[in-house]
Amino acid sequence: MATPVVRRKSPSRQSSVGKTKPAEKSGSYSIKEAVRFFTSDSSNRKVRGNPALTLAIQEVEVTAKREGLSQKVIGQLVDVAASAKFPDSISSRLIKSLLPSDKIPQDAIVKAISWMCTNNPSNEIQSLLVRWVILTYDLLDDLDDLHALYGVLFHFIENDALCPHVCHLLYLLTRKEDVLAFRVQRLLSLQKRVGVQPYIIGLLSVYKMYRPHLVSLVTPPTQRVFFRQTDRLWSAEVHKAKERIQRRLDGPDSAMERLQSSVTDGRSRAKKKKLDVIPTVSTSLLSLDGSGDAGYQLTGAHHGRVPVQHIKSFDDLLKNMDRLELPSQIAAVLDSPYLQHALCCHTEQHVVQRLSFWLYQVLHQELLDYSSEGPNCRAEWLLQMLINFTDFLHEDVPVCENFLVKYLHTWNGSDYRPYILRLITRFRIYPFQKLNDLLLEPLRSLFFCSSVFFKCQVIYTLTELLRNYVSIELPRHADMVCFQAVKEASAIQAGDTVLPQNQLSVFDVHVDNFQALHTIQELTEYVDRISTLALLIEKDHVLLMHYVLEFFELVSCLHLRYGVPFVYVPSSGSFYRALFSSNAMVCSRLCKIICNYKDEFQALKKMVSIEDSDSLFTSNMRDGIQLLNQYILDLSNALWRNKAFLSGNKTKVFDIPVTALQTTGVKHINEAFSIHLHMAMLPFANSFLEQTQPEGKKVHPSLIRSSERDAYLEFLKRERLDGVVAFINTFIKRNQTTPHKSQAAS
Amino acid sequence: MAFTSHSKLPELNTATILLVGMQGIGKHRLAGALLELNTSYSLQVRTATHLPLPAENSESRPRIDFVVFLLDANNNMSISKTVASAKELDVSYFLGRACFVVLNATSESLHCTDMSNITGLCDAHDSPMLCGSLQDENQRKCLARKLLCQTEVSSGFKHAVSPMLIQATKHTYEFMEPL
Repeated sequence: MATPVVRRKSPSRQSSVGKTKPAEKSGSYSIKEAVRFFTSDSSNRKVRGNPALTLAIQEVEVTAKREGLSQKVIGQLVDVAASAKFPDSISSRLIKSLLPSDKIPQDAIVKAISWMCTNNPSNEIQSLLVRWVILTYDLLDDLDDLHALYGVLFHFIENDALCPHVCHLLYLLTRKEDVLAFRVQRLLSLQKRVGVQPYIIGLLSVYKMYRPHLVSLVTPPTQRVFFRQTDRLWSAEVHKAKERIQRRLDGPDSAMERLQSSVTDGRSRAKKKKLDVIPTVSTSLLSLDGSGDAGYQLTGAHHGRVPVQHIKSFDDLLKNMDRLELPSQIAAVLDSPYLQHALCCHTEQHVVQRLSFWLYQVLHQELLDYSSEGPNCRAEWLLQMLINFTDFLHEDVPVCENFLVKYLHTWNGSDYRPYILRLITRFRIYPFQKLNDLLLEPLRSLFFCSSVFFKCQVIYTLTELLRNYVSIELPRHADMVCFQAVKEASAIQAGDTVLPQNQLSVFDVHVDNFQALHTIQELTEYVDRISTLALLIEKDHVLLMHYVLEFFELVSCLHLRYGVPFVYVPSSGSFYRALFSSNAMVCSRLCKIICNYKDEFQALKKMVSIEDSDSLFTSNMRDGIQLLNQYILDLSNALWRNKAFLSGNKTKVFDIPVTALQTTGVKHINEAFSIHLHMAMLPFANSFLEQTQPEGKKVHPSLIRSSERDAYLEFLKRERLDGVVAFINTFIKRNQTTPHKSQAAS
Repeated sequence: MAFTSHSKLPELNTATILLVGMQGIGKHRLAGALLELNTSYSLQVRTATHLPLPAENSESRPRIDFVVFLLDANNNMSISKTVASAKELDVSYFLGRACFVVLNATSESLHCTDMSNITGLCDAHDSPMLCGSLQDENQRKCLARKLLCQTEVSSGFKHAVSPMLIQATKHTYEFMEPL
């Protein structure tokens, strides 16, 4: 009997104490009683001076905000609000507080729409009801019944007050079978009457997506927001309710959370604006059971698919992989790591096709047709997503290559540079001529008229491209050629047997049968050529030298590290530029590269003796060995043996007539490039002498006698010039005068 | 008599660029951007609406080290004028001493001709094509730097590098097959 007391007491305090009052009293005045008040026919329905009503509505609001309302309560309150039993002010407050504790029962929505059809509720209440459905759309327990009312809802578009909201709701609900010619007609005639409105365009564009032949409408490319959100406070409340429900469903793992967050739209506004280009994950098909268990109780043929929103964990994903309904807007997979897995395993090509169409269209729109000046952050985001996606797939998207080729031709060399260059590194392998025409030539013409930093970036890009080729593309190309041959053979043998599934590539690309190794060889030669010239132009810029050496460090271990039966010795242009460089880093790394080549050749030699390779390869190797031996001889003569310019060595660079040497006036010219007198090594020799010689003594590098050379080498090793030391240990037989020539030379 | 790249002796520490493009295309804006860049030599920029250059004053004209054809992909007239002018230029310039600058190359929807016609023009003259814009400061600077890089090579400021050497790294086109 406590309730009547409270009721009687409250009027005097209500005005002064305000809203906190019912909250603390909620122990005594429960939501049940509030609902009972609203539903009973005998309640007083006056707004002014009716404490019972005030108390009840406040109780409902507070409970809804704190923990949400149960399904039953929501059903009852929808009836109350939509039947216009109470004045509009009360009804609207009720609708705004219809926040669920778990899910919103579908019956409540159906009830709301049936009330709307009676024309009992006013326009405002009707529009509020529709907005409520839109806001809580993700929280509905099922959509089938609501979807069954699609035709009924469609009639509401004639109501001008309701039209924007109804269009939005239909936009969310539309499935392919809903797109009918007469609906398109109705929308177009409506558009004629009210003018071009974003919400009508929005709905039409969904229709166009499903049935392009029914809608001949040009959607303006700038229009991206079709439906404006007006109820900020309300949507914030709904958002809180969603979070509350999300928290209660025991924690899904973090990657899943990311998927969910894109489903439940939990992004900050600023970020969302940036992400606009990639749609959020949504499926028009939502089947029953949102509890997140795997093994859905699926009924009916139509429900053989599971929408992605219902996938709550990785196990779910695995169990439902074959019946997964991918999002309506396929591009959403770019943003979701889980869906990328799903896409990879998807056997049907049309999914990939959809993605390709979208990508090409959007890339064109954002990069080529983007007219206004300044960077386009949407394009940057898109390119970054694309890079992540190709990194995940370990292969390029063919349509992206296609676009890139087109874009490179008119590229100014600075727009989106990091992204473009990164995408280039993922290029597929093609015959070199094709690669040159499509990719290398545009890059080259920019290369020679840009700064040294751009040159470095290009060399780095080509290094990474080569790495991609030898580690991924080369084996895949061989497998693909094999696979295609098998496929053709089996197609000829038995026309209608099931062909083996392509396991090698996500994309259905036909691969030409060509010598992929030739591409690699020519690419290497090409990079060698342009980098030699670039070094000449940039006067051996150290940064550029670093990238060129990095390239050769990769080339020098292609066989041992990547198992590619190929070797290419750098041309003398780059080799000698590095040898006479004024930087010790360059010399040391050059020595290390030469050591790598020695191991490489020895390994190749063994391989050749086991199996006979083609003649090109053997001649390639013979030339390589010759060149390498000459380099080794020159290096050891110059660095260690003090014989650089002695005649009879028959080397390229040191073969200068004695008379010409005498005119230079340099004393001990044969020692000029030894490890203590080489221009790059002088500072090291100096600091070595400062450490070893008594203080104050005048030092000269020639003080390092042959007996002290071991100590000096130790010193160089401490200074991280390992390459020089490794070279001398490999190629010089210590305490003897003859160099230990490369084993490969024999 | 048309000028050639070797008909006159070079002046000490001077490089001269000739910008050829129709009226209103932005030659002077580009020239301004070129002159704003800091160079260790004195840079002269000359402009012309079309080639050949008039016969008068040809004696006092310095040696032209580098010729830049400016054309706008959205403007049919500028394209046809460039085609006509390029025919008048001495062949010695097409060994790396000339280039084509295409404006508005990226906004494909506004093009008045297919891009392949313009690339065809550049390939026929075996000269590089640069794409860029003169609209904003940064783009202009970026383009000017590229032109200057080529000018330095063609006027001999880069030791031991000649324009022909750079041309030699070009792998010949065999086909223009799309992917």
